Amino acid sequence: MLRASSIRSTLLRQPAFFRGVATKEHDIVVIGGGPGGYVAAIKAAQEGYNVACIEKRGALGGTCLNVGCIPSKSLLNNTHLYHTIKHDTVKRGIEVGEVNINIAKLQTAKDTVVKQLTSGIESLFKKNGVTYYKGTASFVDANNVSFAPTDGSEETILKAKDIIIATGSEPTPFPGIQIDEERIVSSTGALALKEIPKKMAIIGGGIIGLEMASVWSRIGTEVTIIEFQNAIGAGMDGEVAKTTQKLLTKQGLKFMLGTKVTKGVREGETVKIEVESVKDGKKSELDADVLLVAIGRRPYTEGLGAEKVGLDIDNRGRLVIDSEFRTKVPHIRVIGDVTFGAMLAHKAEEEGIAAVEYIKNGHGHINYANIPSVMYSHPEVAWVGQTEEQLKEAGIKYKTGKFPFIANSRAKANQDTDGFVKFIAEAETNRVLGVHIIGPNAGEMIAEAGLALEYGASTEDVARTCHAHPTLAEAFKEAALMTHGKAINF
Amino acid sequence: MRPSNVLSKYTQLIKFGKPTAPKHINHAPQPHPCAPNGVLPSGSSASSGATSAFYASSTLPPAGHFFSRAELPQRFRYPVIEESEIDDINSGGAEILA
Repeated sequence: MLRASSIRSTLLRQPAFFRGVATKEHDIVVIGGGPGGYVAAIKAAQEGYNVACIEKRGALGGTCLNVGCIPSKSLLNNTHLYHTIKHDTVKRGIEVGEVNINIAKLQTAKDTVVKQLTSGIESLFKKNGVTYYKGTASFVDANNVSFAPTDGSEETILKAKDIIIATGSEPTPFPGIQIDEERIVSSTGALALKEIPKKMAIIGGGIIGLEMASVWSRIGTEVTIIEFQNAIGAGMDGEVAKTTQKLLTKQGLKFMLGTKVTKGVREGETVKIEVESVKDGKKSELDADVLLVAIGRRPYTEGLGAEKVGLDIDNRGRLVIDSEFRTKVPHIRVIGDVTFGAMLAHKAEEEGIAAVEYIKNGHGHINYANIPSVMYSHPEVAWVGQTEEQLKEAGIKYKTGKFPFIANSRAKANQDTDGFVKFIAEAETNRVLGVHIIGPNAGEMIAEAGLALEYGASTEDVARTCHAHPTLAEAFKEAALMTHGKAINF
Repeated sequence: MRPSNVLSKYTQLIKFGKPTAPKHINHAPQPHPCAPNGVLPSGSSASSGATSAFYASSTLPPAGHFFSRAELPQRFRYPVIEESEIDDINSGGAEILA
């Protein structure tokens, strides 16, 4: 039993903020339950730590599962099916009657998938013993995080030896354009439109913009993409970007490249957009039912209280870390979109694993030269490793091998032959330096390229590996062969 | 037949086993591979003046520097020759053919 004086002295030793506030202790607290955070939390629990994960969205999975990768893939897949049934059946010997889109059910199908997957992560938390806190987290000091529950109940202080920040990112706003998520939307609003717009303008020809353009264009929207740069698909190999633009133009998308948006204002049920040519300053106007602002994403640290522990933030809003994900406070680590590197769910997942390995073993692994990118248009575009442009700039001698899907038997049988596989190999050794694919199933096929890169394979290794016939993957094998020999089927 | 059988004995290149962390790890702060201009958290200093690997060539060392094969991952190093192989070489293959 404690004496009153003892209790008083204990209370006096606590910081003023903690007095009267419940405190819970964990080995590791993860702030953010997106792909980086939830993977880190599960991995840490599997390693034997007492882990808590705080998420304020109300559902786990972060941007990716709730308003990003997953809902967009549902819409992309289902609108592709609709488009195929409506426009691409006659030559296949299939006669269909009237085909209609039901936008409400399309959205319900998307919401169902999101719900299944986000609640699936909750089940994984239970299975692995991760304590899930629904609410906001804010640093009190370097070892204590204040947790304010979403349901408005009392705050709790979570004390931890190690803290992992995985708060993710949010859409970057366009200066001067007010997003209302109805007529002027971010990617979040573009995924939840209740009716099909007649005209849509999209600022930004990156992956998010092009995927949303594909979704709405397939179900009848006239889409114009306005891009400041002279090429679409930020980060794509130049040749791939040009081919992708041609294929998307063939599908009906309109592109305004080298064009700057100077104004975007909602006027009733339409949006007026003013643009200017970057080259000669020539101005023009267009209107749309919906304007999508998709110029990128920015790190999200709102309400985190990073300043209370003095964490460094760079001029792009990223938390500054070292190679072991440590901030200036070594036991506070940062992973995912809120710090350096590509804003990709799978990159955040890898970092989540590596960060826990650093805590557990003092050693983790992640290869930033081997992070694949995929655009889920049709045909899909996928790439990993280096582009020709990067190699030229670095002065590295290379050679390429390119095999078109028009010469691939499975693609022919599927009547789906747009695109190619391109290998880039080191000139002297044939070591694989990069692989760039436009074509059906490119997003799945790129995994083989990732394995080749990770193992330091040469194109000869790939070309000498037996690939099943007839598969799209044979195009992969033949492209590898073409860096040092002649293709058999082209 | 025996010599060819011996000579063609297959040795797997990928070794399985429990992965272990390297014994000697330098935990001094190094720039994150994706950090622009090798930026580090304040108060940290790189122990070897390292720069961001993200901007370095993945296949060629910087001018004036050279990779040592001994520093590369195990799979890029020369395979370790076993004592019996050394004996075989030293004997000019006589013992294999005997």
